[in-house]
Amino acid sequence: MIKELRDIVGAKNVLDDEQTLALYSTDQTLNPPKKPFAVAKPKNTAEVQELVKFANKTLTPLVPASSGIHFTGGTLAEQGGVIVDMSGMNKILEIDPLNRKAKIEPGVTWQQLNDALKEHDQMALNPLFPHPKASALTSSIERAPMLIPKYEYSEPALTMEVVLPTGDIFRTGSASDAHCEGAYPEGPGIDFWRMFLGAQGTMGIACWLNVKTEYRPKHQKGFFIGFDGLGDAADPIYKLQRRHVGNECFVLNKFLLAQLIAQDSKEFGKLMADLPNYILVLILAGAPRRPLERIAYEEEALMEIAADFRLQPGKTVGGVAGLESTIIGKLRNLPAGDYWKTPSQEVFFITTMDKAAYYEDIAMGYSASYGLNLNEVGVYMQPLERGRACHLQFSFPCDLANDSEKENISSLTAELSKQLIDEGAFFTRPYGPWADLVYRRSASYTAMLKELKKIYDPNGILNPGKLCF
Amino acid sequence: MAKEMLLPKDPRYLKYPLEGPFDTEKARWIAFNCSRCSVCKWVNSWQVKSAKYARICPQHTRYLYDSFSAQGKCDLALSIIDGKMKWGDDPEIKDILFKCTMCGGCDAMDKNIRDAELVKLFRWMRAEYIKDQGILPEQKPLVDSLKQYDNVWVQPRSKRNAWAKELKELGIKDLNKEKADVLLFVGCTYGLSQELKSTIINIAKILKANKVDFGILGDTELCCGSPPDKLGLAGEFERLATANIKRFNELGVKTVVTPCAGCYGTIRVEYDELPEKKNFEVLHVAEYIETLIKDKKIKFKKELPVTVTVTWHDPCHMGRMSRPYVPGKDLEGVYEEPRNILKAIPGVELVEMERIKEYAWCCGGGGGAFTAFKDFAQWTARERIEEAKDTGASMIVTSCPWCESNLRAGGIGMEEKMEIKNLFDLMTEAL
Amino acid sequence: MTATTDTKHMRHEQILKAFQAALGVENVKDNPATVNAYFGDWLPPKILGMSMPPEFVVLPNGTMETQAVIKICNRYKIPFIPVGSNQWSLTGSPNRPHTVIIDCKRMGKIHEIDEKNMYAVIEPLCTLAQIQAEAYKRGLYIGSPEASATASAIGGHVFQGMWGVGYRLGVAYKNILGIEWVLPNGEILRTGSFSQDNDNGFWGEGPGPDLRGMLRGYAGAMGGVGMVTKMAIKMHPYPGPKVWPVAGMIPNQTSVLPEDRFKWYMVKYESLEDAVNFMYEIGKAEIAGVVQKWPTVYYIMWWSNSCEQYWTEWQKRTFQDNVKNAVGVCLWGFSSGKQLEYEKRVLEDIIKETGGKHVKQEVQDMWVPRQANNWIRDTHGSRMMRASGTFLALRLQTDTLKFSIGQVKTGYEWVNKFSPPILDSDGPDWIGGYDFGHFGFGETDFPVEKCAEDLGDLLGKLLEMTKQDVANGLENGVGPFLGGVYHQMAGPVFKYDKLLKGIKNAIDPNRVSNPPHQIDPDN
Repeated sequence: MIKELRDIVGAKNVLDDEQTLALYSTDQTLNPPKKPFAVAKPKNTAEVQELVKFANKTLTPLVPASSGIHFTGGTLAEQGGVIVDMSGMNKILEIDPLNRKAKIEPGVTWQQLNDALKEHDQMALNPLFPHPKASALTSSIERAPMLIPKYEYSEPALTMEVVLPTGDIFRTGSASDAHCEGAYPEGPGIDFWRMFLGAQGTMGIACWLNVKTEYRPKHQKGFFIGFDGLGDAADPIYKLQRRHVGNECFVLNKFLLAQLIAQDSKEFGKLMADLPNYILVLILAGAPRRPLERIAYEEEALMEIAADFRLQPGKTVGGVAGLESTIIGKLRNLPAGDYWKTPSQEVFFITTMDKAAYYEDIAMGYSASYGLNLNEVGVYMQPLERGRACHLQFSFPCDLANDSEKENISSLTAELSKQLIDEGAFFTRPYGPWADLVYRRSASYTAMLKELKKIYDPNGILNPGKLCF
Repeated sequence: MAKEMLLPKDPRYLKYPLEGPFDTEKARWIAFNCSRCSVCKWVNSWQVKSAKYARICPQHTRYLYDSFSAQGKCDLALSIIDGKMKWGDDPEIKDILFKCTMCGGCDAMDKNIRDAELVKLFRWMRAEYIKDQGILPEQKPLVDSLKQYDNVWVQPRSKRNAWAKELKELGIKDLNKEKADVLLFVGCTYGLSQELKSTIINIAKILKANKVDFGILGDTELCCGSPPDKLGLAGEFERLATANIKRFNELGVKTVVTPCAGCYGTIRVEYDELPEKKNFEVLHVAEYIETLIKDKKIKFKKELPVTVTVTWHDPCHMGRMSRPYVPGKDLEGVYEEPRNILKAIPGVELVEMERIKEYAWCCGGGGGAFTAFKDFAQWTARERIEEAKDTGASMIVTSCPWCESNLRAGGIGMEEKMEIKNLFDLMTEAL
Repeated sequence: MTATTDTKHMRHEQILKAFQAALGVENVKDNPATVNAYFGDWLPPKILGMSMPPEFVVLPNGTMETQAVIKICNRYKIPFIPVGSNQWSLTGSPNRPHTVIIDCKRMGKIHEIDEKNMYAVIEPLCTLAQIQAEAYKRGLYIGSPEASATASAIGGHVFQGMWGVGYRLGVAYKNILGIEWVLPNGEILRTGSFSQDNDNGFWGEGPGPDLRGMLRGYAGAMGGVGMVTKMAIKMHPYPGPKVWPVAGMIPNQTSVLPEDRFKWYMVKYESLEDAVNFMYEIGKAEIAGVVQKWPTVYYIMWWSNSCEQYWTEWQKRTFQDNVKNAVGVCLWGFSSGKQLEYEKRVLEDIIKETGGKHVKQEVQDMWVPRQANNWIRDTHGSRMMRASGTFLALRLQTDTLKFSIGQVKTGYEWVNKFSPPILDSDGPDWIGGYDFGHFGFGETDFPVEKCAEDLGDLLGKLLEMTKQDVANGLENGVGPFLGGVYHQMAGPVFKYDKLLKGIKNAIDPNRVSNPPHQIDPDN
């Protein structure tokens, strides 16, 4: 079988040495290791297609992976098989500034995309300071939250080319029509593209994706507002979003913000002492035309809203020097090099902002009962779609080399997740152990997904063991 | 050379065929061009102010199935005309046609988006149905009463306008013997009802006090023909209407003024369908009296004993059904005049319901429903009363005997009472 | 009665009793007068004899009763068609015998409006106008398409929904949150956050792969995927008044939104390309709430209040000579009046740079107060039928704005080829800008004489054109609105036939949900 793989992707693109397999057996989560029997690195759609055909012929599971690092468990070979590592398919196939989209292969990182878009005055719609090796395609189709809630039409994913688990090539939306430019996601027939989103590579292997891009502002002003409690941030954000104020808008607790900007542990310590508990980051961005005028009226609206809540938005919080330029710098030039977050495990879900504080209390309660230093628990709230909902994320420090820490955090996150789900938190991206918790509550959805899986993947070769499959 | 413009071949698309009798051809045209858009079921979207009060058609709201709607009736008309169905095929056809208040809500909404006359279609359908299936048993008493007494209330002619005999001191002219500029056409209901006679008395007093040169026909007054017209009894309508036009012309009156919305709409609009032509203007009493107030001839001497918050219910036949159809023209009616009167009365605060004027919800009393289909009529009335309650008003004011009677009947048994009052009774309290 | 009719009668009675047991006697009808009201529609299928009355019309009162009805249909293998407002009834007319119409007249509840988190949970009868009215009271908004706000809100969301303000706030498919849905096999599917808690529909995605994808595509499923009985829909921020402003009377109403927060512009260009360039620039500048390039027929269709007025004005060429290649732009001051002022300045800059000219003021005065706001709250969509009894559309296409140009131009060729019975329409190109110009929608609309003898012939030709398009690898077009007939031919070309047939087969094993929609798995 190794020979067959080599025939498809080339000998040097098939890896089956123990060291490599060990690397691919684990990821940054606490999921137990799952050893694949090989790693194949295709270079193009045709090779992916051949791999899929091979998988069907030999009933070998395939596990697509695109990023250089994995945080969700989605790329672990639950039932063995071959990792299809597409990080080498890293071309930006097209940048279309007129229609504000870019066509990317799976291996394209956010930094790579953002850098390429700069010369067109465009920027990517990335999640919060993504890891330098994170795949932009995967993030987009896995529905990682964007930072700019004003783009009500969220879903930056447009059209894509997918190799179906049957080996057929399928193009979604207007990309199905060779005459079109691939700007519209719906169809052909039905909204197939939706079924590839959040699918952890179980319904097809995306080989390219058209993503929306937006104007990269040349002028911006950063504002920061400190809050004692997470709940205090909700109402002001609701108002800001209702009045269409600002571009990037998110809340970090001091732990996460300190991690983001501290250069060393001493600075980190000072930041932890000086920063307020929660910080709202709001960037007012100039548009392509009359940028300063737009910033001006948005700023006026911001100040009106802030006055209603007796808040004082400023260029910094906690007296941190250069905070505005630091944050804006990192937003516009995604951090490369070491990832900004300490090793941690994350629990994230969708809820509404008026419930965020409630869930935070639950998370902190569990953290305390598991003996964590609450100052080391990260909290990130990302308003979505003009504040109609939010992505809420808790991160718990966890050294993957420390077994007892791993065990502790594993139990914490399992129990916490269960409690959160019971209390109405919506885990729309059910990775790892969340899948069972989510799918057992939704009999009809689960049953239908399984039916769909049988249709898409009759031999069950694509990433089996994920979700409810 | 400029390309010749491609216009419809059928001239009826170039101009709606207003002229001529309402016959099968016209009926089919209207039915055929129903596009199932459903505007006939809902208040015009721009006028919807809440989810609760978004419906326009009492029949459809009550009976739910699309057959019970203007669209359903268009489908029925088309099937009958094209020979795919017969009137007797289904006993429910009777309900579809007659459990309808002929309020014109659908007609008005439909006119916003196409040229058509739905209520005329329904009248035609009723007439055709009756020709084929006979008069409805529920309508028989009314039909017999008209034939026997020339009124709809099974009352001997001698009792008509007996109220005037109680007011000899007022010196109301008897137009059987005298001349006047204005004929006060009382109508069957105000003319015969003991319950409502205070209204006509108050109106007569107001006119007299303002030296209006008017008279009445007393017990020689005939029904205006509105009930038979709405019920599809074309022969009876023509008989009464023709007789009335001739009589009013002979009287030489310049103006016919009536307090009944049904009479008003019929005399003003439906009478124009007849070969006999009117030589007089037709006004509702509200129009006439509003002019007197505007000209400062009427002055209110006192405030009402207690400030009262009222809401005005627009009777259909004083509103959207009170003007001849001119495609493209505003669906005018007597909307502002009663409101101006109310605003002029000291101690009255006027608040509006959500569905008013040309998009008002019917009281439920029209189209024969009041007598023949009481449940439906009173259900419709209760919907209206609920809507009135939501304004915070304690009183519904209107000026149509059918509206008043039906709203009162519908309100019986409701937990919170809502007073129903005639505009001129209220006005009199402040004079 | 013969043995066959006896059996048919017995079967009918059996089914009737089953429905009556499930719903109550008064909520089931099979009589001629009732069924006769359920097979008409806007398009000629009825008058061309391609539709027939249903056998039953049933009125369930919610999800459970709808499930009961659909299970009965499965037991007896009889087709059903779910209908919302059934406005225009595009595919709501039965095309085969023994059909059951599931009419939602008892399902008009608004379960919840969450003002803070901007969504509403509604049932199928609830119209766009109803939910709009409730939204305005709360400083919120939802759009309505040009088919008019009388349509069912759920229907509008599952069908197409390219409303004007979708330019900024997203079009219909993006507005769907949680769904409660009775599948054709009678199973209840709850999606999004409803999957976890059927009282909590605030979020639409997933969990995991998003089954909302099965509900619709570019066009709806034409009743081929069962019936949605509850849906959470997004509402959006709105700087407008709590009550929609209207002056005047039907049919001459005008509507003017407050001038400190809303402003309409009509700007024309020499060519369609220039007009589209203008639309691009507006999108790039991230301004405006509505950006639409309407065909001239839309102006006359919406504006005229009578047939006579339509054809008289049309022959005067008032609109043809003044609004060709004109773009309607409505600026919204979401944040404040200052935003509006900013956007006006930006728009004027763009107009100047792109060589645009304001449409003659008297024409703007004719059009804007009367009809422009239909692109925010439609009430006149059905006026499209007035002047000739019906209208048709072709060459619908959604991709980039630029792509729309080519599409509508090919639309002209067809319009010219088939006139008559297509009537005078003078370049019937509609191009809408959406998602701040990320994509554009193009369509060709034109009046057709409804009573024309050659109408059937025209429909046949349009179907031929669709087949040819598909054979040439041209997707979209009017095709998806034909439902099953289209997907049958397009599926193999665009490679979705196996998937779609598989899905249809899985959810509709007995082929009862408005066959042949979405697709016929057996062919």
